[in-house]
Amino acid sequence: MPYQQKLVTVAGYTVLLLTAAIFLFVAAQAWPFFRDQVDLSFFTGDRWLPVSSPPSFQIRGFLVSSFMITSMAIVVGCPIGILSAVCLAELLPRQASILLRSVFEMTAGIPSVVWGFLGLTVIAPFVARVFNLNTGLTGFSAGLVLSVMILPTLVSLADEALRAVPREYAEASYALGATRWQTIWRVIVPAARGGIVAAVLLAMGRAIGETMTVLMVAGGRLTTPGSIFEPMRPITALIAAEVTNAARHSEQYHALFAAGLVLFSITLAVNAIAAAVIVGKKAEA
Amino acid sequence: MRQSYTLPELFLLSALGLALLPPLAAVLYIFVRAAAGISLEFIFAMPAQRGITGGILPAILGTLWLLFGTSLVVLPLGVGAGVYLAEFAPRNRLKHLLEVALINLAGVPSVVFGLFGYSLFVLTLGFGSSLLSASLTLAAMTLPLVVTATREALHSVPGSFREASLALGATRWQTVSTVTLPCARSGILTGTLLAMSRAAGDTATILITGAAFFLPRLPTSFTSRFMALPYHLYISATQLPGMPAERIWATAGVLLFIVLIMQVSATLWRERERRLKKW
Amino acid sequence: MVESKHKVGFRDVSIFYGRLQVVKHVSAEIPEKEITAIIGPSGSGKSTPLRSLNRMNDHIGGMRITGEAIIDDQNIYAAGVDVVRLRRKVGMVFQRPNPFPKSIYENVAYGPKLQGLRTKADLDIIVENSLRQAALWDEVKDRLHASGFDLSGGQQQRLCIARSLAVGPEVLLMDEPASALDPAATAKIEELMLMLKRTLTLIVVTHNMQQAARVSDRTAFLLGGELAEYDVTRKIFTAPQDKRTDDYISGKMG
Ligand SMILES: Nc1ncnc2c1ncn2[C@@H]1O[C@H](COP(=O)(O)OP(=O)(O)O)[C@@H](O)[C@H]1O
Ligand SMILES: [Mg+2]
Repeated sequence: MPYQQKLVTVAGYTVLLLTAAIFLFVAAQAWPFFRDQVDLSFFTGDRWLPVSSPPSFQIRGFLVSSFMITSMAIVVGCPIGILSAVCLAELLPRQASILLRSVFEMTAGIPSVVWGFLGLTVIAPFVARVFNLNTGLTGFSAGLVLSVMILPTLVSLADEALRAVPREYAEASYALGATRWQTIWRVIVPAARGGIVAAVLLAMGRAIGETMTVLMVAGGRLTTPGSIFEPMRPITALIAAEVTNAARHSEQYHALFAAGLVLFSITLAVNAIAAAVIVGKKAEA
Repeated sequence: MRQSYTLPELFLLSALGLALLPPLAAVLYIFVRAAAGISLEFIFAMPAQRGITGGILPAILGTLWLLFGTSLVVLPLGVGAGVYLAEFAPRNRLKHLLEVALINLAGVPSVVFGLFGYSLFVLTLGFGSSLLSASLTLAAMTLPLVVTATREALHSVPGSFREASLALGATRWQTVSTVTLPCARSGILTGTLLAMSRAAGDTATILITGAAFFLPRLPTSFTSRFMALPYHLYISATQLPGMPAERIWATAGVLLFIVLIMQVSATLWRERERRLKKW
Repeated sequence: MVESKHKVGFRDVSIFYGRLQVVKHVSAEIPEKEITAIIGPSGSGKSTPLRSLNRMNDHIGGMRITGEAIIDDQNIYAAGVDVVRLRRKVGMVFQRPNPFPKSIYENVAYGPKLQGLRTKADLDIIVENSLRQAALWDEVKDRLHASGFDLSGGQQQRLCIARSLAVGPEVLLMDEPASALDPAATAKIEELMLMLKRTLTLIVVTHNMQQAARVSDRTAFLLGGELAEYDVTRKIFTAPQDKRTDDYISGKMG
């Protein structure tokens, strides 16, 4: 085997190595926290008091916030995203679809800190006015911005899934006298179901992991929110906001890594399901 | 052929409009608002008074340095891994595992990459909060993008080219280096550019691994802290009540401009190649 | 008639893809500097034994071969055989023309360059000679640096032949080389094959029986992975020994 081939083999395995290393190196810093705090109140409690004595580190509020904002992003984003994908894959002329795909791809490049800034200066004041709130920096505003941010992922993956449906299915349907509308909803979309589900899951993973937008727009209250119209702090924002201020190897510092490990596990679970759908489909084909 | 649409289909198209409107409006709005704050001084001068006057040159250069450092690491590693996956990996459980790992890696939140980079590069390897640590962390974050782009580009090279080369007595490596990789070159380049535009805009990772808000000098070495545009925008927008609004918009505008330039050139390049290519 | 030397041989060759046996105990001796045609219905296992002769099957996962495939009295599947050297000696032309997305010149120079030849003068000579041998020189000599894709299908196939010849093979394997071409281009390829057999041993898979009858010296009829009949072409087409061969060439079989 030439040495170049050995090199690329090594490079290939770094992908695996990196995945393991992320877990290990985050877990290594989280370990001191889990070693000292053995009860489940880490997940179920609402008191995040890093500088009280004794301090308390409980993350229910952050998990609930992440859940609320992600749900909102998915509920608002999915219908629009999937319908857009149907337009690209089935309705528009080829050239228009190619152009719009590129546009979506480019909007995926708008940095999340830029979205956060827009949320802060444009969306939040607007939301405050419309819903008559004291502050627009709420889970609702963050969810709204996120629903736009996940669209490129959602649209491109769903579009890909729809286009992978064999042309013969549609032709068979037309041959039976079905209209385009019937063919789309009774034949093509059901056939692409698996891929669309994977698209939604990956978009969900995106939303859960999104950091800067929610840090800047969600409001930052540390306790469990009662509704989406309250200020809140998702788990990603918690980490980004506090990790640089926490003294190295302090309890707070280890607790933040513990929160990071929880976040990593959640996104891993969501992505693993999506990966199983995608790789499973590939193996079928 | 002229398309005609029924009423429900028009409803679908309006959903597409709804999806495209916010990002396009956002880009336009930012550039319009940014125009007031952009000047030669803003782009080419050092910051002064904690960034309230002067320019953002160190942040711009810091971002460029970051991209340079990141691509230095991620290009060989990502392209190598993509080549392995597409051309050499035997079809077995291990390859399956690799592909699952790749999808998962692409979905790891950037803040987790930040924690990882902090734990490994800043602490364990002792690189400290620095350009080096941040570049390596961004390289880890963009690795799955480069690998996937390389793999897809290689997959789109027809198998008949490989067969022809092997049948002429080329080794598998010769086939890859003289036929398949050159054919995949533009796809790899596009993917890498897109990955770098992601790195240029990412904030959470560099915030944890070494970005600084106010350093009125240019980055001198890979082991020092650095300014970078996205972090500068974040701090200006949230932590500095005295920061004039047009300066924040201008920072956002410059960042968005750099990112979009990379995106647009990648897209245009890909479309050009797609038109030229004959297989 | 002097019995010519045997260049290629199959000795009890069986080939499997996973559990599926695609070639079943095939034995045959193929003489030097003749054209041997392999005919049979599609899926009957023609390409598989052909591709085994330059070990192009090695790259297919789950492929297993038993028996001996012989070239110049040597089993090419024996331990220690250098596959790269083997493929330089045994060239291959595929069903669809597959030039590289490079210039005509670079296509032909590709093989010699792999072997380390760098001198421009030497490469020029090899390129010209190979293109002449492939009867393409006159058509392309003024545009050697145009893309191989600018040629017509038939020209592309002759370019692929020239590219193989540039490596200096002794055996040329052709897998339905004209099936993607129109009749005029097919005739040119057939004419070329007859010229090439003066210096090379040609083995040609074809589903076109007239083609086999027109150009080949010997014909092997494969059916379901078995060598149903193998003989001088004239005998196969006029007095087949096997009923199945008769059925096939008289069109009673797919
Ligand atoms: N890579 C492969 N894996 C599994 N089966 C194969 C593969 N290639 C060919 N086959 C099977 O082997 C049989 C013979 O194929 P082939 O030699 O290509 O036949 P022919 O060239 O006569 O059409 C066919 O049934 C085909 O389906
Ligand atoms: Mg065949």
